[in-house]
Amino acid sequence: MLTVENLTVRFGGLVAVNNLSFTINKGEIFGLIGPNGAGKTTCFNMISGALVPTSGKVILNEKEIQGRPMFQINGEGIARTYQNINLFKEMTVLENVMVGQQSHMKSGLLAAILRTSSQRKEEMAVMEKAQEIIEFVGLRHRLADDACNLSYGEQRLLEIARALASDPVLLLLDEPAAGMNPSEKMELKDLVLRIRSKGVTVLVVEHDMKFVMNLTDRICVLNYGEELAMGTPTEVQNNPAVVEAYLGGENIG
Amino acid sequence: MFVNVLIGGLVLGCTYGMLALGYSLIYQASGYMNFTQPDLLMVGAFMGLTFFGTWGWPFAISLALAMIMMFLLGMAMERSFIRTLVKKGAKNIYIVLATIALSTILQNAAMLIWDSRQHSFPSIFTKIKPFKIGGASVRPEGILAIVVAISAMVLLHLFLNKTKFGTAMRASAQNKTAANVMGINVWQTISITYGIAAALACLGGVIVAPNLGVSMNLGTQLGMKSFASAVIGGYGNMYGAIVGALLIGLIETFSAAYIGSLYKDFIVFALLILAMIFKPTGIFNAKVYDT
Amino acid sequence: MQKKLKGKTSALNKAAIAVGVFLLLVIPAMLNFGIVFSANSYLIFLMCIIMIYAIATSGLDLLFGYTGQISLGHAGFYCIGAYASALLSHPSYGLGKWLGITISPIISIFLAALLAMGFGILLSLPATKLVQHFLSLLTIAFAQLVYLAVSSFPEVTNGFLGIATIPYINLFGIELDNNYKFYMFLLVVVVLVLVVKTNIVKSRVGRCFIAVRENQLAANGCGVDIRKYKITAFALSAFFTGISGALYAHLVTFISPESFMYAQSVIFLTMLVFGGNGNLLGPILGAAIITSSQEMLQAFRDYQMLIYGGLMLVSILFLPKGLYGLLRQMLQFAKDGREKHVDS
Repeated sequence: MLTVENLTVRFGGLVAVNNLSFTINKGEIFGLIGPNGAGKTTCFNMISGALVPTSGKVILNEKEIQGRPMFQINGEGIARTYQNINLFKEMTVLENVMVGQQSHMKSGLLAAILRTSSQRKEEMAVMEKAQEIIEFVGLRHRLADDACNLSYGEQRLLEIARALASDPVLLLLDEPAAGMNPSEKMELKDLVLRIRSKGVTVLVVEHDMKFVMNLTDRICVLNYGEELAMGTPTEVQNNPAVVEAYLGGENIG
Repeated sequence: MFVNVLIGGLVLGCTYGMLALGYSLIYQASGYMNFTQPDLLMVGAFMGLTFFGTWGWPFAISLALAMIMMFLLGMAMERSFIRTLVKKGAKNIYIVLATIALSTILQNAAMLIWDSRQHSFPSIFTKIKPFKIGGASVRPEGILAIVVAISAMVLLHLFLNKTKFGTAMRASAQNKTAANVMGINVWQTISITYGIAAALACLGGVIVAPNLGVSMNLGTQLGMKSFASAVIGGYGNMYGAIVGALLIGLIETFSAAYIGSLYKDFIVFALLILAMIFKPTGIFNAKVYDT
Repeated sequence: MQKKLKGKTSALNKAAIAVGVFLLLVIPAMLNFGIVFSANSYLIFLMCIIMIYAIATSGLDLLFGYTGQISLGHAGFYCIGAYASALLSHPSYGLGKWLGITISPIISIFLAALLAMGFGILLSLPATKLVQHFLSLLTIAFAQLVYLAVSSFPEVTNGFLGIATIPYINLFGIELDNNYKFYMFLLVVVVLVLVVKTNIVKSRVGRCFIAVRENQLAANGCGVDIRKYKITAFALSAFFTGISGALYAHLVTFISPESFMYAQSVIFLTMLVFGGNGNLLGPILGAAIITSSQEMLQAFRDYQMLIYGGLMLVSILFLPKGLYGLLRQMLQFAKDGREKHVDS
């Protein structure tokens, strides 16, 4: 459902991503891995609209979305979480998730000022949906707390909840397991599987090999901005080029 | 008449340029906009007036002493206020606000220490008569303003780009963490930058004073047009600061001469707004867009 | 669903509101009808000025407190509101002078606010593309241009001589020709403004404003059109500040460029930062305290701006949530203290 075609981006003389192409199928959990500096986050940024590629295309369900503003891409059905937590700190958990629904809300400024009945109904609906999502990720007990008061793990969950709020067809998770302990990672894996069972396709960038191998259906391995290998976790693990790229004694999975 | 206006415009432009250099310097070296610059210029001018005019000390000594004191003042302000805010993780807007508050304080403190009247600054070159250039009469102080401004521009550009400290300054502004890792004492660098900018403002004030006089409002008078100069030239660029300033100076004097002095400020600001709307990156292409 | 804190303070809130209503309605009435002091309408005039500033500062709050954009040029909108309303309603200037028509002040105030809002949109169209600092610069340049416009063209605005005998507001046949009448009218306006502000802030628009302030990147990724909301915030804040400028013109019935210089923009910002931004009460507190201190410090007129600068600096360094934040904290301590007593 998402195709990346000959995607290239250059910063001055540096080619960060070179002629990358892959396809993610609907309902997959797709992993993007690679050594540091391989271009994973850059690729992510191009898909989510944070970066405009120098050449190449990003196609979502037959629509070209590369270079379009981030908020529009969100409207098309892509939502993401961030490596460094990017929550709205002074808002509550509930409010954060309510903002996530922005792309699907209809009432305008005048309706807000006049508090028309349709505006009030929409607010109620948005609030209820936000509560459902918060329950789904397991943050119900923190509903009314300010985002800045959450623990690190809880903040990561909130980011996911906020992303889910926009009803995405494709969810981009940027290093969701970073800084988590093993039991949290188990819960996260469980959550991602539950998200997939709701029909959302997931693209994950991660450094934790074990996590990625256990979770994903297919993986694309990047190195120096180019595709190094593509396939199921087993295939990738056994690929000699991949093993070499991770030289340094890192055990892959 | 034309030459008169031209020379006048150039001198005025160099006046604006001194401040504009300070703005661009602070921006290049710390990434912030500093609203205290014009008031530091004013305080510097007043100091110069006191040392040179009231107490009769030699000009060079008055200037040097004033610059040293302003350098220390600049460092002190950074250390006590700006740094506290940055360390607290205050958002950028609050730092800008703090400089605005400081600017107000400086202006009014100066008014209390000196007074709110307009003073005239005594001539520096008592022995040299005004020059005649192309039929126009130019005071030596005017030529001094031009010479100092151009030298400052060249020296600052070289300093920022060719010296070790200048590069350290730019590095600290662009990426504190990286600079730190490279062994640059970022905080000290920033402090010194503020000090240098303050001393620069002081120099500007003292050089400008013989031409414009000294008053509490000297800073605000010049400040906005100097900001305009920095923007038009490309904010953060040393050459841009002076080129932009010369442009503004010329536009101002020509408008005053040929259209009417009542409208000159209006014209300058209208042009500034148009420039900011259509080419905010200025002549030398500063980075101004919010991606 | 609201924060637990609000539930606990609702009793306190109700008491505060009751006291406030009493003070706001009864005391001025007593003053006006000579029960306490004889016709001391100066206090009432002061209250009017406070309310006008409160409206302007609340407008600025939408832009700065909620959306996080600095404007150092709100004196420009204040000025546009005042002059536009004067020129539309005065028989000897503007419309009155050239077309022989005057517009009733009630309508001219609204039109002037719309004009201010229009300029707000015009200004923010390019401004919102620029990095923070340049936005501030542009707002300064804008306000300066407005000031220059009203002072450099005396044929239109009478320049530094100002415009006098601005007509009184005529409300359903009642002329607001004394301070008390204006005061009652302002009470209604302020309540209206606060209601509108509350509705905006609690709605999706308000959430988007805050999202832009908190984290632009994330907001963008959530589907918030950053530029659209910044422009909306600008427009709204220009509208409110424009209204307050127009009200000022019809209260004081004399305006001149001096009231609309750069210092005025700084004063608005000081009121907002000191009083507390991002909430309903803060701007009002800030306006009230700064304005009354202006009066009380008459003897220290020279130190006025110095003190404001100091207040702003102190607020920025120690009271990021302003006076409002401080009061809330104190209330919280008091509540915690009382709870401890109950437990033990």
